Amino acid sequence: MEGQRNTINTAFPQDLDAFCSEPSGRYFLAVNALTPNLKSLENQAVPVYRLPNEILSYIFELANVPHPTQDLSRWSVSQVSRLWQQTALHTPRIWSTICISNHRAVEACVIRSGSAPLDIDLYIDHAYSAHLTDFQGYMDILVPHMNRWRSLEFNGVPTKVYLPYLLSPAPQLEKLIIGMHYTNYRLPLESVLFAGSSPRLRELLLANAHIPLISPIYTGLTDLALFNASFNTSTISHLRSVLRACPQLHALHLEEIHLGSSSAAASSAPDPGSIELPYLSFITARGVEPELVHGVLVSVHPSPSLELQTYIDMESQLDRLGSVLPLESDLSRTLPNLSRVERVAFQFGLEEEDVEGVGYFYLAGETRSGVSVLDLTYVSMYPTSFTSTLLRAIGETLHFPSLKWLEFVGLSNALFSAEQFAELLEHLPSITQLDFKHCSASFIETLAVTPTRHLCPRLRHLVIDHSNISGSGLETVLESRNEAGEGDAEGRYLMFGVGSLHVSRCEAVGAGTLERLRYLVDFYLSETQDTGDLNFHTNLQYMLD
Amino acid sequence: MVNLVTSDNESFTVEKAVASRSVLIKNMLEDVGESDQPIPLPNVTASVLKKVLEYCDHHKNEPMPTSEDLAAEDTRKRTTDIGEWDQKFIQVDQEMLFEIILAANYLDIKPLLDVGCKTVANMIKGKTPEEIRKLFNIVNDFTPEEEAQIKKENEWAEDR
Repeated sequence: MEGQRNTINTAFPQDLDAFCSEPSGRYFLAVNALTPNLKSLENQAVPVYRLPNEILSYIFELANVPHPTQDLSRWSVSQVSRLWQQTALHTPRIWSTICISNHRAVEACVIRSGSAPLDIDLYIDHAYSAHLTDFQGYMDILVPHMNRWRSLEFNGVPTKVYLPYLLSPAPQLEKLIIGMHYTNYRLPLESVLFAGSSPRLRELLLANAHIPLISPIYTGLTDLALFNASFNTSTISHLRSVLRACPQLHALHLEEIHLGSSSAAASSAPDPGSIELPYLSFITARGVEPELVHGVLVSVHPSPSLELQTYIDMESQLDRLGSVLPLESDLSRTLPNLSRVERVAFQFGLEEEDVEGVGYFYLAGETRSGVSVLDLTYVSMYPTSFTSTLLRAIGETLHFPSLKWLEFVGLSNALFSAEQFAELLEHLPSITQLDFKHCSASFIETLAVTPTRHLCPRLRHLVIDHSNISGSGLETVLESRNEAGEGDAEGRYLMFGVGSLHVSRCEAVGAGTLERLRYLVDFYLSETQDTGDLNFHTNLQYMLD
Repeated sequence: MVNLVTSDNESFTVEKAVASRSVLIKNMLEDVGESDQPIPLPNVTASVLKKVLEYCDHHKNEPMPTSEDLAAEDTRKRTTDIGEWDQKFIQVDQEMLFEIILAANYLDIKPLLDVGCKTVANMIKGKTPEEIRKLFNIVNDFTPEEEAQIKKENEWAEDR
């Protein structure tokens, strides 16, 4: 009792026993004790106090956005008033997200979260030595509650530091993100994360963190993302085994992933059977070997709405589209979305003006509504041969049965001849729109109708931006198409000339020609500015030859 | 048409599609079948019901959230984003805001409850306890001992 008295405000009388025995002293203490209750009663009249606790609790959950730098709401609401504090303390879900803060806060959150599943985010921007000590401190608090872990995210922690904490089963873990900086910390083969038991794990992202592909952790996943790892002892067969073990896989992201030297041989070996992945809707591959993409694509039967995105550095001997896309197999099964592509865009550019420089090749396939289903970017040291390969594939080996619209950026004679271009268009009679940007005149001039050639007979829309085509060249194209449009020799189709024309930045087309052009088409637009369209990759050099 | 009677005895005749945005009313209509009997809503005043019906009318053609939708809702992916029309609709004084929330809860109109609760959540976000008290006219009713404990908690909670 003596100790308690000493804690009371020093403004109180020194002799408390005597003070309390007086009537005025007893009154003072009674009022003092009642004051918080009176204030609580006062709060009952406040509109927000009309909300029942379960709604207040729900509002606290909505307001709670735990973040290392904005972890304010849950602490704030618990300090507003007694009712709000009680409500906050009885809302386990607002305490169940563990962010980097300090050990006392983590302890409080673990206790207050009751039995709610824990979402642990120990991600920091940069690894530093103090962080490792903090990490160990947090883990010492969190590991006894491992059966409640729902998600775990951390970075910058060496394998030898985090591994001892992750050797017990994690029965509720749904998401694991391990991000390392720079170094590829290799998990020893004999170490099995979560004792091989993380039955609910669905999302796995590993960056610079190497867990062997034979690990049981790659089982039952819906989202798998691997960044910057060399699986030297693994082959494409191991990756296929991973895919087979994840029949619900929705998204696969591979970036700077390298398999062992036997991967090339394994990719060309016949696959024992197609891997049914009916939910696989996204494949992203950046900076991986072409065979890896090919090896995956040839093996899977994905969702009909699969979207494929690649960014691949092609080696000289692999300058073939078929080294990436499984052209030899039934593409309607592997890439069923190709049938929906109505618009294909190509961009060819050089880092330098020298045609022997590095070439960028971008091929984008979209549906009419603008949904991108194919987004392929290749970088090649041999742009000339690759341009031919890529363009020849369209309509021959790579079929787009619904294709109506082609866009070209950077077509130059140094990369591809106009005759080859004409051959390409001969395979594509259903085209109704052609867009040319930074393209040499000779390619556009192939559209002029001659007694022996009538490319794209259904062409109605023509867009030309920044070309060296002359006014007479352009007039020839339009006039010849108008004349040819008057009738179909075989009477099967009703043909029309070019209906709409959009010309911009064509300096060789004089003002007089521009004036005459408007009478050759139904809709005509001439601009001196860049239209802003068709800029997929910027900072490339184009040549008008 | 459905006839609704409020706690202050005012009648509202509304389309069935509008009234059925309320799961409570929808279930009542299903239980009772075709009937001209007015539906009493003893927990809702006329001014609040008018506002609730404005919301129901605007959203009458939208699909109702199913119990499966609600069960599958991932609490981690909840946001406090509110649609443009809903934001304008919910620009009311605090008294009305809380009454709309209570009515949405009573009438079981989950999307409206969400709009109201998200609005309050957005008002709270990023504020200190004192700012929240000021916002809602809440009096600090902690005892000195509780205050001391909170102060202690703040020392480590804010050490981030």
